[in-house]
Amino acid sequence: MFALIGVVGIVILILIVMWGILPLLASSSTMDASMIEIGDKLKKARRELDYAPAIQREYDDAVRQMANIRSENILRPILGSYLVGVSEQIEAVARTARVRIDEIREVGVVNLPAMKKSSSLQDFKSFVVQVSTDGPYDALILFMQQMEDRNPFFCVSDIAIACQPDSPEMQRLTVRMEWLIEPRVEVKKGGGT
Amino acid sequence: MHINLILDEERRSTSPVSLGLIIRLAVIVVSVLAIVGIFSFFAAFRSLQYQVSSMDDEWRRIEPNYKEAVRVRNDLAERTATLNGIKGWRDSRIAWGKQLGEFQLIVPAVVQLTDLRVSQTILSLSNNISARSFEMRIAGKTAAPQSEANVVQFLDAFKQPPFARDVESAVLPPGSFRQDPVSKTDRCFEIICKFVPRALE
Repeated sequence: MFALIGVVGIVILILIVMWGILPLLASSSTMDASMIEIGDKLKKARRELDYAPAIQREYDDAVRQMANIRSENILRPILGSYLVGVSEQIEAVARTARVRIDEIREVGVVNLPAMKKSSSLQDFKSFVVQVSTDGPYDALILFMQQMEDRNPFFCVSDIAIACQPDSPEMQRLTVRMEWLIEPRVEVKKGGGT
Repeated sequence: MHINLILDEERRSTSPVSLGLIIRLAVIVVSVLAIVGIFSFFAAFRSLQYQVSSMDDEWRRIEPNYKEAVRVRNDLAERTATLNGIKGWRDSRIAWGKQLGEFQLIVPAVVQLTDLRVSQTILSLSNNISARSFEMRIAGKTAAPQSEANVVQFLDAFKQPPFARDVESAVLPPGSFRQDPVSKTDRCFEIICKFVPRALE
């Protein structure tokens, strides 16, 4: 009788192990792996969230700086023309510096020099004009200085200063000026209106 | 004489602990241990299940904030790269107004400049970085008697402040120092100044 109970007990034990414990063991090893995975993700996420306020501040600062540059330093077209704004500005500075503008010739929109494809400035181009002007050397220098002071993101890429044989105190300045522009933003803005 | 009053199989141990008792006790102990083991296994499994589920809940709660933080970080990296690119563009320029103002101060009084040209070329530096390189060509003339000393003095001025930091080299190209074809009392010359390249990014 006692042996029979023992045999039944062993059979029940085997059944419990086979149908209960072994599947749960397999499931618990899966859960262990999943717990490690979630634990790693949580650790990473908590670390990221610890830095989040500082990153958010840096982000807000970068957005503000970019917005300032966009509004103050990136040339905007007036009714699709960059030349109108540029000419106005050049003529205003020329009046202050007392030089005579002879010609403002649009060279056009050109790619930024040799920027690699992955460059962060892919969206930017430069608008180039060639300006010819006459005046005394000091006035021409003042003209250039004022243009550069007004436009921190403006570049002069070529300059030619030559004496005028008939009036030695007067010089002729031909200068190639480049303004940073962001055509895609203009297209987006244009498309939205 | 030896007489067996009982058969061998009828013999009983005199010990109070019999084999049957040990087996019964062993069965009871093993059964209790098995039951305790099974219960503790189930308890551990339930606890693991609970831990996984609570971690999963926490992940679900934290995930949107985490994704947003990662997006902000990536966006920041992109914007910072653009900002640095724009600042690189700005910093690569030479403020020619100021430069030409200072240039005026180093021209000896006895030298008359006839032509000044600045041209830009784009160089490719290592690491795929481009740079602006400026070359300034100056043409002028000076009176014959002290012409050589005047030109050398002018040339040397590019090695002194404020030009020393920006000018990489200033040379008189061979054959450029010669008799002025128009006035026999003057000599004309040409100087080529190369400025230190400025990286664009």
